[in-house]
Amino acid sequence: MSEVSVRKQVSERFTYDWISPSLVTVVLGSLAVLVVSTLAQVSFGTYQLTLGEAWRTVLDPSVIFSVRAWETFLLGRSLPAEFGRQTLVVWNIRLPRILVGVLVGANLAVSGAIFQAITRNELASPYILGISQGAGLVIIVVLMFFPAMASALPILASIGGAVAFVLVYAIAWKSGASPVRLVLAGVIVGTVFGSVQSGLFFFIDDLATVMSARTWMAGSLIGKDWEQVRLALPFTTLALGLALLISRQLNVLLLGEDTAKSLGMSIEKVRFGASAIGILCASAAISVAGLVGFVGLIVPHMVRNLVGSDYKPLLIGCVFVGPALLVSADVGARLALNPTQLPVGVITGLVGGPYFLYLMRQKTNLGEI
Amino acid sequence: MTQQIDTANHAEHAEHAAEERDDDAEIVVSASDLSLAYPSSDEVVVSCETLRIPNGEVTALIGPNGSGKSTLLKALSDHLHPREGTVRVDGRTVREYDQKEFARTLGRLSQENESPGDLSVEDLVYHGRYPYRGFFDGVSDEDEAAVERAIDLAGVEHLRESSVGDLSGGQKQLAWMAMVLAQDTDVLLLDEPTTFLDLNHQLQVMETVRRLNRERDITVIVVLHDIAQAARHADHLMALQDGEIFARGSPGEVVTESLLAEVFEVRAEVQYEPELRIHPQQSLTRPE
Repeated sequence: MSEVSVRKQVSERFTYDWISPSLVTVVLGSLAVLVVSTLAQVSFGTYQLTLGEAWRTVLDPSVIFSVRAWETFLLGRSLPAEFGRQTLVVWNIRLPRILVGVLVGANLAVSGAIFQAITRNELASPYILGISQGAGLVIIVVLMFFPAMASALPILASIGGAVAFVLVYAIAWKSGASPVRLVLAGVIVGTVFGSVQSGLFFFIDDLATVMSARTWMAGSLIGKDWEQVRLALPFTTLALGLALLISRQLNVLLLGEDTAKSLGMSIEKVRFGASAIGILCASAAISVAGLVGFVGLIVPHMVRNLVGSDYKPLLIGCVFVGPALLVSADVGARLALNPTQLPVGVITGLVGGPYFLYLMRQKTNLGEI
Repeated sequence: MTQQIDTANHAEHAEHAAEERDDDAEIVVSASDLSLAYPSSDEVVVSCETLRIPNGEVTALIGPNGSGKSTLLKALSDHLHPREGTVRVDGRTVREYDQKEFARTLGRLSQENESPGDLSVEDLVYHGRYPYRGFFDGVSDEDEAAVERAIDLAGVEHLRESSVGDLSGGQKQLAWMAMVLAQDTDVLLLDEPTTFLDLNHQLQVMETVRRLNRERDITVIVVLHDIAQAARHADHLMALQDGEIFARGSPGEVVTESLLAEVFEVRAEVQYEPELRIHPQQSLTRPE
């Protein structure tokens, strides 16, 4: 073999080095969980379908290849008249809920992963850093007082999240922000913002609105349909794309501030940009599903254990594992106490809490990546 | 007649200019009227009037704990803003450099480095190419060649696939050294690269420094704890005491019994032949 071809091989090996067998396993495993959850979600419920019927309806070519149908889903046109009852239930009620779950799961997981790199802290997540509550407060205010601005919800929520994050950083900063100080500051800011949210509920007279606000605070996919997909999809695509682009920058950030600066990185700029992306991810999720806890914390952690700390495979893993976790949790939330539906946040909390505990006991110096 | 004077004048000027240029070419890092302090306190940690690091040589900073060696190094690598004075690298002030451009000119390895435990040595070394890569750029042939060279120079070929977290302290230091070498800079600042290492790895690190300097003509500024090591491996020594440069020159000039007594507060015998050796006798500070 000539030297040139050896070189080329080395180069290619390096370029695709991050596609490891473990990443492929994680992606395939997540897809399998997603498919099973989708089938369960689509077939069970008040309107029962057999698995075969569910499968056939989901893969119905007359819907999948119908431009008219997709115009309805993605652009919000009125429903085509030829849709049967079964198609309506599957395509207009159950599938969009799953899609919203996919978007929310991916966003929360990626957001958590980004904040863990920025703070070099495994405990970081949008929820723990107070970002979720900051975004949440803005969302409540908008929905209560300015419902006309609802279409810009993810952007407005981002501003709230950003304010909360800046506050947390300012409080935690004492010649550097240690992992523990950041978490504590996040809890403080989160609690204050959360209290304001709860306080606002007392100004709502309508009982139905209070109920929906409560569900929203717990984080729920109940009743989510194509409208939420349309709201979250553009921001999700943008934010996830940007996140994957900055994976190498995040890797260098993991080497510590000192080294990153020695390597010529403009740390403040990269931190700022990465935070903005992370906040946008979290806000896109929160503005459609409310405050779903623990996904942003445990998914990056699970993926890191499986594929390692390189951010390229890590983020890709998060894009698959996040949806798998959230959608399967939502199956539980919807069907476990049938006919009562639970908010999915209740399930992720029930799963996430013990996982967090297990982490605490497993690791001696929890926090540092 | 006037013509002649003019010519003579001209020649004199030219000579003077040449001298200055020569002088500049020999000095790669310089600082004047430097006063360094950390943002959190008013206390000035280092102050020195002139600092000139000769090009293509190994300069070692020595001094007792807290004498300001690391602080000085931080200022030279733009990690610490001088309260007063300016640092120049290759004749330009540090502020004039773009951040990545500066990282291509001057590299610094700090005393302690952290990385994700599962990062492979090879991937770590590739991070050294950060200042050469644009935001979206992949790995170029040049990057690859630099990485291979750095791995070879630091002698970590056998560790290439290992995770940094699994390495011993000495191996870790060599791996990080390889990362800084991949930066391919003209100037290299090393902050106590041999502290905490066993003798074998200390020698490996210092030999790498020597090899770099000889083969690639890289200017090295290294903080060393061990005076004997500094005297053996460096061309120039600078001894710091309480933030001021107490002595500078060749090892033979700087390492004297009186310096050891005054700066390090130890009584020691210095033996100059066949090579410089220090025999410490006793501490001059008595426990109260």
